[in-house]
Amino acid sequence: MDKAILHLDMDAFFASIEQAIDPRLAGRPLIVGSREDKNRTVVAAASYEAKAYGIESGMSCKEAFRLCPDAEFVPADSSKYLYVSEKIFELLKDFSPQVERASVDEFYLDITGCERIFGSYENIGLLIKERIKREFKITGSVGISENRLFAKIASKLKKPDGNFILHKNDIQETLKDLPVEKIPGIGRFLKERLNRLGIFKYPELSKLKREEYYREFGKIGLWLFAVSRGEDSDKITFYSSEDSLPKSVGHSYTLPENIYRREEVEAWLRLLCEMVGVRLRSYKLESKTTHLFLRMPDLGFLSKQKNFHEPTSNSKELLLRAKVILDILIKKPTYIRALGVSASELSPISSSYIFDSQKRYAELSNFIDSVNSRFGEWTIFPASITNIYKSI
Amino acid sequence: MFNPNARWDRPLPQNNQTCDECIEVEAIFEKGKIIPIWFSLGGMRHEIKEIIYRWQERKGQEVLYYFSVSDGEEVYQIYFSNKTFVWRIRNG
Repeated sequence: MDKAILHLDMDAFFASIEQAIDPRLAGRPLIVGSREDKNRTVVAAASYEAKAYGIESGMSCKEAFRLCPDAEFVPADSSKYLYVSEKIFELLKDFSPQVERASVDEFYLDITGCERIFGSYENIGLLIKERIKREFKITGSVGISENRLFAKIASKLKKPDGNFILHKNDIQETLKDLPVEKIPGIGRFLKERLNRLGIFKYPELSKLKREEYYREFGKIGLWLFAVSRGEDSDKITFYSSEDSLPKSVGHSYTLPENIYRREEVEAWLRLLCEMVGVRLRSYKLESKTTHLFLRMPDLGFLSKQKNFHEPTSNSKELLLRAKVILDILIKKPTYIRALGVSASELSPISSSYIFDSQKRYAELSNFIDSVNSRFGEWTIFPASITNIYKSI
Repeated sequence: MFNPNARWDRPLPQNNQTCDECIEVEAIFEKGKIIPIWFSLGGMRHEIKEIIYRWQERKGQEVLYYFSVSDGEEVYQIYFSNKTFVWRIRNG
């Protein structure tokens, strides 16, 4: 292998931690809900015992309890998961200087050359899994391949507690039955378009030539062509230090129940924009592009991004921008189940302001951020989100 | 990009900490590690037979040190605040 990328995917992360913390839950079907009230929330995570009943993340808890009435329920407690995730991230640095935390329960390591220290690539996977099991009483699945995409696919192939090396020469044979929608990055719409071209399984991606892919799918087509050859067009960017800057900052919420009224939608957007703004300011970044995502019970997913002339880290300005996009996406009131806001095209905050009011607002935001940083999140928060409490 | 199946949302602005009961705990603070020995609840003293799990939560400058402990019969979650020096037990 010229390049060796290891992907670690924790197995049923939240549920496994809850089972480790309370051994009475071990071996039982367990649902971790997004919120306290199990009748008004979605499944944030399910233990493997619960998954055996067909319970999946994102499903409503009502539906989950219909499938398995005896399942145990605990509300999600992000502090535990973030703490363990942070500790795993630290532990992984003992195996490679290039570690990236892709999400709370997924990590990438560039382990090229590290086999000289640890014996073999397979051994690195085993040692990582062993230490995680010993220190945190949970398991993870390791996939190793020559790029991120196929390392991620490899980690899914032997779940749970797997350790699998996918060599480039073995990709076609190993993935001969893999449906295209199981490839990370291929969503529902892309799957349907591929299916219309007679492409259902991974090997069938080789049916089209590069030009045909480009003509049919544009830039994504070039990525699909690379994938068909066992490559991944994404550049690998590892973040070895804590203060590496993100490419985008976003937050999303699945709501306790569908909302309809514009004031309610705007209150949730305000909350999300506040979260995005706080994080942008903590990174000392501002953003030109705002992206709004909505999930509706009737219409499915809608999302749109818009570029604005002036970059901002101002939460209120982010809200105004999100509202502009909201007006484009929704012409008449409709029920909304989930929504998210993200900011991209980031650049360092400029300290020059055209208007004095902008400067004063920036100072106020920084002051509120410092109070919240000292006394805890949401010590001071916008009054317009107060009503959100009532909906919980 | 957003994950439509996002498995968990950020905590909402709320604070349940004050609902949790204050408890008396004997603990050893040793080389940066906290080792709870026993706690009393409802007038009963519970010897801690096993520290099953430990984790931390930062709330501003306050750090809460959580412990999942067993007295051999039940499992409890207790935590210590480095700001108030108070131990509490999680309700529910």
